[in-house]
Amino acid sequence: MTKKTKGKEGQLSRREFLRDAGLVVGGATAVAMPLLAACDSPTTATTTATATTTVTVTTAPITTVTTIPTTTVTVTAPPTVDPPATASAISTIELTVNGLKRLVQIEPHQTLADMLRDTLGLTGTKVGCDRGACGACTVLVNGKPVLACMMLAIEAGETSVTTIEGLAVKGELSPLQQAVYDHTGYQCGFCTPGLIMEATALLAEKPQPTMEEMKAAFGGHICRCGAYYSFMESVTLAGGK
Amino acid sequence: MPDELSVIGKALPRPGALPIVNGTAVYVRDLKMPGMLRTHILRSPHAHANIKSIDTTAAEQYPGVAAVLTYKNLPSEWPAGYGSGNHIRILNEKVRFVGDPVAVVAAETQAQAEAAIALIKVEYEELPAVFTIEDALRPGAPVLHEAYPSNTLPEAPYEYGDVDAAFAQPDVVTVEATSSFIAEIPSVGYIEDCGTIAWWEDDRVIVIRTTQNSPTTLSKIAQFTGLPVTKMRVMSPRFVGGSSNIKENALKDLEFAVTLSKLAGRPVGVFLSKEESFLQYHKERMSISYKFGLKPDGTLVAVDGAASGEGAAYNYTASANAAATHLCYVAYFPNLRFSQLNSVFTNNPPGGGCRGYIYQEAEWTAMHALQQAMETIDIDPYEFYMKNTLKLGTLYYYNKWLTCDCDPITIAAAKAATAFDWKDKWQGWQKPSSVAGHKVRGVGIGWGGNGCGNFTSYTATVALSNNGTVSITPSEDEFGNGNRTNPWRQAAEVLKIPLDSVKGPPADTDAQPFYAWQTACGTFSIGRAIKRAAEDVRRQLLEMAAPTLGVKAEELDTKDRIVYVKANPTQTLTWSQIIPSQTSIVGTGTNIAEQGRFPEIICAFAEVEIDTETGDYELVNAVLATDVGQIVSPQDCEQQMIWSLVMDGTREAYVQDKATGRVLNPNYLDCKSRTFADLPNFESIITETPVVDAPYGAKSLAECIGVPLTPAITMAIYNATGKLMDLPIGPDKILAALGKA
Ligand code: FES
Ligand code: FES
Repeated sequence: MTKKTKGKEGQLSRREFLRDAGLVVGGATAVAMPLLAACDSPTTATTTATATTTVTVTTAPITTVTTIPTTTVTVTAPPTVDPPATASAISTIELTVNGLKRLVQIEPHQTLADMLRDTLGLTGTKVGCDRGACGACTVLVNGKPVLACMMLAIEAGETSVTTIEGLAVKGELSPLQQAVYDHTGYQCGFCTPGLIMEATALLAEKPQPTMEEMKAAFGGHICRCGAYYSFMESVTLAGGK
Repeated sequence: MPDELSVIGKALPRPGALPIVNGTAVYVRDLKMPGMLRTHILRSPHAHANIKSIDTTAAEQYPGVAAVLTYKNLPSEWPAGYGSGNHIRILNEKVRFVGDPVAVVAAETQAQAEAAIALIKVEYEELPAVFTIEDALRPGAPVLHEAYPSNTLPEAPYEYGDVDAAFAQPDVVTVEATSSFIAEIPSVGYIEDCGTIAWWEDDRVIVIRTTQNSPTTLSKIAQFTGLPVTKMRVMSPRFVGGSSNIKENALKDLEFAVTLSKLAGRPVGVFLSKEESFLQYHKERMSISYKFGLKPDGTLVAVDGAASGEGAAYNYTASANAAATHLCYVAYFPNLRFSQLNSVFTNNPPGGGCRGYIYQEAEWTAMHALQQAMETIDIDPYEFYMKNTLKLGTLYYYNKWLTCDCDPITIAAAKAATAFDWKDKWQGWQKPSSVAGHKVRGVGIGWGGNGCGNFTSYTATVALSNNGTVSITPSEDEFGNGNRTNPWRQAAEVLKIPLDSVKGPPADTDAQPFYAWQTACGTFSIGRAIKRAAEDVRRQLLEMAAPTLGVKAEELDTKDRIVYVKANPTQTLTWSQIIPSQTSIVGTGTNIAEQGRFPEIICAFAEVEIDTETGDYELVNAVLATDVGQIVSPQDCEQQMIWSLVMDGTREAYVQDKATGRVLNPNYLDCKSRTFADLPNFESIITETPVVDAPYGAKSLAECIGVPLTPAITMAIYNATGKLMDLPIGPDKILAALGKA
């Protein structure tokens, strides 16, 4: 008899790892917290109304109670609880998204990409691989390009995040967005928001980047349509504007 | 003298594309239906096994779980509608590759679905597995499908001319070659993974899917449910990611969403991960043997061949047939015989259409073998291909005898040879074009294409309304290449209105009068239907205006929504003065398919530089060339050419555990695809020799682009190293070729 424990036997995906880490309450979270800049702030580590949450473990019969600074979580097995198996420690973070102050409830395992897309409905940020390999999810955190699928939402507390939705001012496209549109610097457009964010950061530093500088800056982005040259031409057109 | 074109061939922004740059473009995964359930799939850890027992009790009782689907609870009234011969169901008692779906859970949240999957108990009876075409064809090999006891799906032989008589001519040189595509298996690797949202309205299922062809999705649902197409509707999310890649066939997101939404009575979203996408679908491997007959001057005389294509576990769209039919795009043989064509079942993830339907595989294999024939008579490959390619007036065979009524390539190829400096760079077979220390360069040519020119029949309507709207139906799914809006240019051109004033609904099979398979032939098949519809409505408009303006309709023209007398342009009527209030006039146009006509041929010149110390190589220069008759959208045309760099099959490969069949690198990190950092000097040369009988003289340009670069690189590496290599080519193979490994 074979019991499958994971979608892909024997492999633990990062997402599952994160979820389970959250479940073990976590364990990982509590230890990691002091390391997370976001959690140094009292506003970011506040708990929700539920001080004690019962969480189910699905992969191993772990029964443990761990105390973390502001939340106590009991982990029990086997699964019996509704709602969600992942209703682990929910925290609230405060951050600026596209110029607006937001208070966002997040779970410890949630990535910034998931928070933007699922919680805030900012679906312009695309997830192409969810493993830091394609660049599609690139957003700006404090002006720097970041892979939103590789950053935990909790790390984004007290930062300023800009997504593709935040580039246009009062409906007027940024010069780069306009150039990409005018020049058809895309094909299917799925990789385009990530590229535009990366290029926005590049242009802020180097208003007229060379081809080689662009190749280096965009090296982490995959475009399976091959809109490589047209995108770089668009950036050149937007340069200096 | 023809009218000056104002839309066709002009660099105009794509209509309706603004959401791509401002972040509001909606793809399937961005949608949430109220009450939508999430899913997770349990997959087989074995390459070949019977499911002895499966217990889903605990999963069903898990919080949030709404339905668990296995082969046991598929709706009993649904037929076997899956696999090459519709001989199996969407889930079966047997699994045939590592990753083959076994069960699917639909739950309130993704986490619950994943957790419940872990509670399903499955007992497998492992069976011996086969992972190569050769092993699958061995007597006594394990049988994958009882319906096909020899593991093959035989296809009709393909033959024309008189092969035996041709070989019997006195001055024919015979070269025998066996060639295999491909040692390893690259995936499509599209950026947006497959996903489907489905729900039922009474007895009718509604689907939104990452498809590049909604009508094809419709027919798939009809196949596995046995329902008439009137009982289903497929809608486009408006934006589909991953240009020009096939998302139709093997991934089962569609099947599971449709079935689970029926079982659960709620909307269901099935969204696959990158790993799942990579694991489940790949290019077809091919094994082909050829006997070539050619004259000492390189003129091809005949070919006698046999081909097997690996359809792998289920064989959705795989076939060996392209080995025979598509040779004419590589080099034309006046006599051809493939007496044996088979697709073969193995325990690998399903193979099939992927970056074009087997063209790249079949044509690479042919070029790999032809190279040996060229070297035998020591002919320059440029000379060889120019001599044997289809030209204006060539009588050729593609399922029937046709006369080539365009010049698909020779003008463009000559320009490309000059741009690439081929004459100077070509030093002869197995001779590097330059050596500088441990950097050795080689050059090569690839040549191929397809017959998508006018592949499908199509009917379109163009409606002009009193309020000035110009609206085109049906609409196509847009997956990146401008497929949806580039054919609209034909209507804008006929009616002399700006492109951005043409509208059309998102693709929706409720609005499609016909369920045609139209992928990769938008410019021609759809464009011609739309052009004819626009001409029809223009004629009606002018006829309606004629009495008021007191002239014959032929004396009128229209531009910018105004009808005017050609001889006296101040005498005018606006469209809204002609078309009665609250009404529209509708023109219709139909295109009838002529498969094989208007061949698309493309060639690539490649220069690679090999580091003889590390075995690394780099594509340094690439020139691609083709003739499109008339450029419709310059930017899209150019970008499609660049797509060849993405489709290059020399680099990407799955690494498979040979013992278990497990794919070890199903992701972008380990299965390298070309990014910005790896771009060569690239030039595309697109010539325009108008094609008679084509809409505005324009031909299609699409899947053929995936063909020529890979064989050009392979030939270049051969000339630099003196070793012919299978794909993919990595430093290990190059070092081995140089005797350093
Ligand atoms: S989705 Fe984040 S890098 Fe691919
Ligand atoms: S435009 Fe389609 S992946 Fe880049």
